[in-house]
Amino acid sequence: MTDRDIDQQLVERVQRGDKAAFDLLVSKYQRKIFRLLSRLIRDQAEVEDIAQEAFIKAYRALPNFRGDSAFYTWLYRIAINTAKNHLVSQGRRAPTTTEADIEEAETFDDGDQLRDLNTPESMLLSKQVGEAVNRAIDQLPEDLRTAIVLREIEGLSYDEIAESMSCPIGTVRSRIFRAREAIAQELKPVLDTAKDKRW
Amino acid sequence: MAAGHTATSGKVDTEHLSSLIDGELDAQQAAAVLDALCSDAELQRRWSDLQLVGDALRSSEVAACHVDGFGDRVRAALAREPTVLAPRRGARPAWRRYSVPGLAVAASVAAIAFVAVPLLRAPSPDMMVQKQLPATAPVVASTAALAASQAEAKAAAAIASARALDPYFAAHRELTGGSALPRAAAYLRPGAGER
Repeated sequence: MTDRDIDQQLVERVQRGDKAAFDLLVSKYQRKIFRLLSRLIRDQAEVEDIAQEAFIKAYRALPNFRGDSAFYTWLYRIAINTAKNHLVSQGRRAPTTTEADIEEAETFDDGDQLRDLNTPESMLLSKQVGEAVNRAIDQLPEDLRTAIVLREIEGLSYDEIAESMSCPIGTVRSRIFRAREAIAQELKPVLDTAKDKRW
Repeated sequence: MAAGHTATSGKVDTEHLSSLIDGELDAQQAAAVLDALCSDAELQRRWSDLQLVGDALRSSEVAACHVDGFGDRVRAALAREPTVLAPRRGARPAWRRYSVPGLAVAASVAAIAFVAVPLLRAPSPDMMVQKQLPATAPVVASTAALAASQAEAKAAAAIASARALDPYFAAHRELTGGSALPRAAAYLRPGAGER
């Protein structure tokens, strides 16, 4: 099952009345939506409000979502339109959305084309997150580090990693999971400390 | 943020969540994990953590946008929303989906065949002759001779009837258009070179 298939499964559960499935989609995409909205709107409180409004609009519109596009692409458009409407209602100029933006939404390459909307705080936090991730990866045992890098950086499947590392696929699954747990532990203090100081 | 190893919730543990995120479960396994995920708050928290780790590994800028408590905020707003339900798409069995158009096509073909086949089978003289031909070779030879003699008789009858009409045509020659000057022909004197 691909990532898109999993999203579609969650969408179908929401369409059958399961609100918990929508919570899972929120927790999966909230940061990407924040990052997207922060390019359009500087104020963090406003970004959070508009992100929430976008998610609620998406929830209300979900019965009409047929899966012709990826869920995130659809959500991205809703978020952009919500932000534009907000800016217009405030008498501010709404930026235009290009096809390139849509393509970018598909590939999630948010980091490469940032506008100069970063605040010193957001840049610092981003740097700290990056350092925490690197530190966590450096501290991992060799086999866990190799597995997570092959998966996340090189994009290899479990089968390919198992072949590359000459180990059973179950071992690959376990190593990747343990690496993620270790990275999560390293990230926690950074994000907790940075609460209310981001962007 | 989650700590520790594989926290089991029923039959599903967080290692399965990690595999689900990587798209490494088949449809049946994924459905089982999603079932557990939608009904277990602890698994939902672990799912959220693993998603954050994935974002951090791909882009520190995206991970830095993490806002604690945002999920709770949206959940509270969702609780005030009426539950959405998509209209059920027709649960027609697959055989109906394909058999109905198939039957329509078959009926059309049958109708065309009913109208067209009798027309196509209308007997032509040649076909009638052919129809009379038996299958075996010696008899074929004799029927061919018979057909030839019938054709000759037919031609002779046609010639005879044509000759019977000769006087009629001769009497009305000026009206037949057979000459280059049909209307003037009656006034022309034959044998101009007789002078």
